[in-house]
Amino acid sequence: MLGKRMHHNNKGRLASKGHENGKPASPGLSPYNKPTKIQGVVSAGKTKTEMSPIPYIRQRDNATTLPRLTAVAARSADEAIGMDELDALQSELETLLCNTALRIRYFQGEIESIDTNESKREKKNKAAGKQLQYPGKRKFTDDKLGKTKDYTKLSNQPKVPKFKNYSNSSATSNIYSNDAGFNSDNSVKLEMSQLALPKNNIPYKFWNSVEPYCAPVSMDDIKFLESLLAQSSNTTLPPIPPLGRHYSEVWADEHLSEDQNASNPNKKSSGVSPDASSIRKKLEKSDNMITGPLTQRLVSALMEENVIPYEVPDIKLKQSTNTKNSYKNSLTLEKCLRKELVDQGILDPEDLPPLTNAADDEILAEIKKCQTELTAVRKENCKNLKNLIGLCKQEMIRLNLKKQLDQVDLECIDIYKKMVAAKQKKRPITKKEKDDAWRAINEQIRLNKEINALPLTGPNSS
Amino acid sequence: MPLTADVAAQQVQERLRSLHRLIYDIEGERGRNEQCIESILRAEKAAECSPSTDDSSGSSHQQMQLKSLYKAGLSAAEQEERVLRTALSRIYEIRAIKNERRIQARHAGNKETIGCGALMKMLLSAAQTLPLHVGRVGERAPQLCGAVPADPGHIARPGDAVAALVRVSEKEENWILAEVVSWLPAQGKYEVDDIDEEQKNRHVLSKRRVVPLPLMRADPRTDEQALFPKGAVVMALYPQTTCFYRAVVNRLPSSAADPYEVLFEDSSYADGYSPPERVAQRYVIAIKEGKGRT
Repeated sequence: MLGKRMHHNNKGRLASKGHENGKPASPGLSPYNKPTKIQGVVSAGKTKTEMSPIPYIRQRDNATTLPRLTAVAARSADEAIGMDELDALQSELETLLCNTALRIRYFQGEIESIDTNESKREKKNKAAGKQLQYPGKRKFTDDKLGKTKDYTKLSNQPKVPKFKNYSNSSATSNIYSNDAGFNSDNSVKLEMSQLALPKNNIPYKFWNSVEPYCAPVSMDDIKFLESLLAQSSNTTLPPIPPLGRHYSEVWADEHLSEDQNASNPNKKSSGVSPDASSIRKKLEKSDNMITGPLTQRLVSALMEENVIPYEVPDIKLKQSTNTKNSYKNSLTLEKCLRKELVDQGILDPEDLPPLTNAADDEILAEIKKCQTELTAVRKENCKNLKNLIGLCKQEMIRLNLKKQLDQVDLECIDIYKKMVAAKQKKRPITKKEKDDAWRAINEQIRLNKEINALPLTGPNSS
Repeated sequence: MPLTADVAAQQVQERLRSLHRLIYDIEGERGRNEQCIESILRAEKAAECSPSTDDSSGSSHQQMQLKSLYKAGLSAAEQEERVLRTALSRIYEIRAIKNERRIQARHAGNKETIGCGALMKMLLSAAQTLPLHVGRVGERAPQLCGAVPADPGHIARPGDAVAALVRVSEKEENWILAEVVSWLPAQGKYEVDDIDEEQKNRHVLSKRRVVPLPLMRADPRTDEQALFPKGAVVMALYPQTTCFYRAVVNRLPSSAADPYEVLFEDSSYADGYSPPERVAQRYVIAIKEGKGRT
């Protein structure tokens, strides 16, 4: 009849569920010992609602909390204690003993905290004594008193209300707030120990930040990658704009004045001479008019006579093509001159550097360099993105398979449970059930193989 | 020396009288303690009102006063504790005497047969009246108190309750609740009796197949470290049976009289565990690795 044997036969321990009377709880022990004792379990701060933080069972509560003990104590010594009273007596005495043990701990804790406060205060007094000519331990002058008071108030103000809120009527809280008056550090410490520490949620933050990196790949990820790819393959490089006004005019002026200075070594003007810009303007104008041989002549005449009075203007001009002279107007001029020279058979077209020289200006060169770099980076990006998209798609396939596998796994577990239950009930397993089981297992194997056959695709691949 | 029924009864009476006197003492001590506590509460109240008006020296004085009151309270409490411990030891002595008598009676052969219901009640009562260990400050729980295992060299005494791993069939072994009959030092084996007398089985088992049950309960509030932590895998007596099964501690006792709440490993439930069951401290023991699988 005992469960032990029942269990052997048919796992029968479940048959004996009615453990109300067999429950190892203590029916003889009333709930009294909980509330009365728990009130004083821990020191002051936590027992704000209690009258007294001291673990104690009042004698006036004897009748309710310790009925057996009270009865025995009230009897005369002649009336002996019965054996049947022993159990209840034991539990009541044990209740009292627990309570007393806790009270001893409480008192020891309180004495200790007073001692530590004391030693701290002494230290503080010593420290203060150095500053304040040993503030009278023997005698407090009035202004010294005032000072201490001010100090206590100041140091206390932000804390006292907290204390009051926290433990409104607890007697011990006053000891603490009292202490707080002496030593603000101390009060902070006590407060810290009483208030619950703030929850440390840094681990959550950290794992939240890690989460996206470990999450399985989704369709959205692929879409995002594709949009990136489209973006980087579609954009063309911005065209190189024509030279701005600053470069085309100011630099041209500078250049011309440089030329002038070079041709005129006696003249020591460092800045851009006013006539330089006027000459450039003239040149500019003439640029547009270089259409016929006459104009060309005029230009060359101007240059020869006024601006650049070299003996061989042609050579100078040719040299200037080799130097970094690439301003728009001079370029046009250059073009014309070059054409003229070639046409006239003075120079061979092969001797000249190509007109559309890419690096004929340092800024243009820089731009070109950047553009090449950009193209290279973009090419690399596109390549990587394509690679990533491919991996993602593969991973999606794998995840899909995995999902299926999980489902099949669940199915297998289900079937297993059913079979075990069937075995327990001694019910034969039907053919259909068997077939189902085999189908699930084969499916499991197939999916596993398929997953393993896929190439690895990163951290999720394991 | 054989403990005859007369001698035993006399010893018990003696202890009961001593207990009665001690209970008077206890009430006296409690009165003194109450006075101490009253004065402490008054002093605390006074300290509560003063800090705003008083200066530091006054508060310091109050602190000293409080401290001396605490000290007085402490010594009163210690005195009360002493008397309480003595009183409880009287009760434990009475139980020991009765147990001794029972063992002797059994040796003599007049074994009282108890029915299943009575047996369950007896087991329950034995669990409830198991001596309680209330540690002094800084004291460590002794062996076989709560979750504290027996020292390696410990030999259970005749009459001690144990969990014993016995072979119940060709393939199956079970941890059953049993009582030590004797220790056979030559073989290093115990002779144990199945607690369930209907089984009428006596087993001779090697020491490693016998785990003594706790001889003391641990008080959760003073000796929590002597209890199994939540989540610990243990062997626990399944309610209404005399077999131990693997279980996981779900909730600790909240007071000395409270049982553990455990979840038994049970494959017939979806999550593999039974609903919470309450098992007394006496019937929850540390698991023996590699054994006791049901």
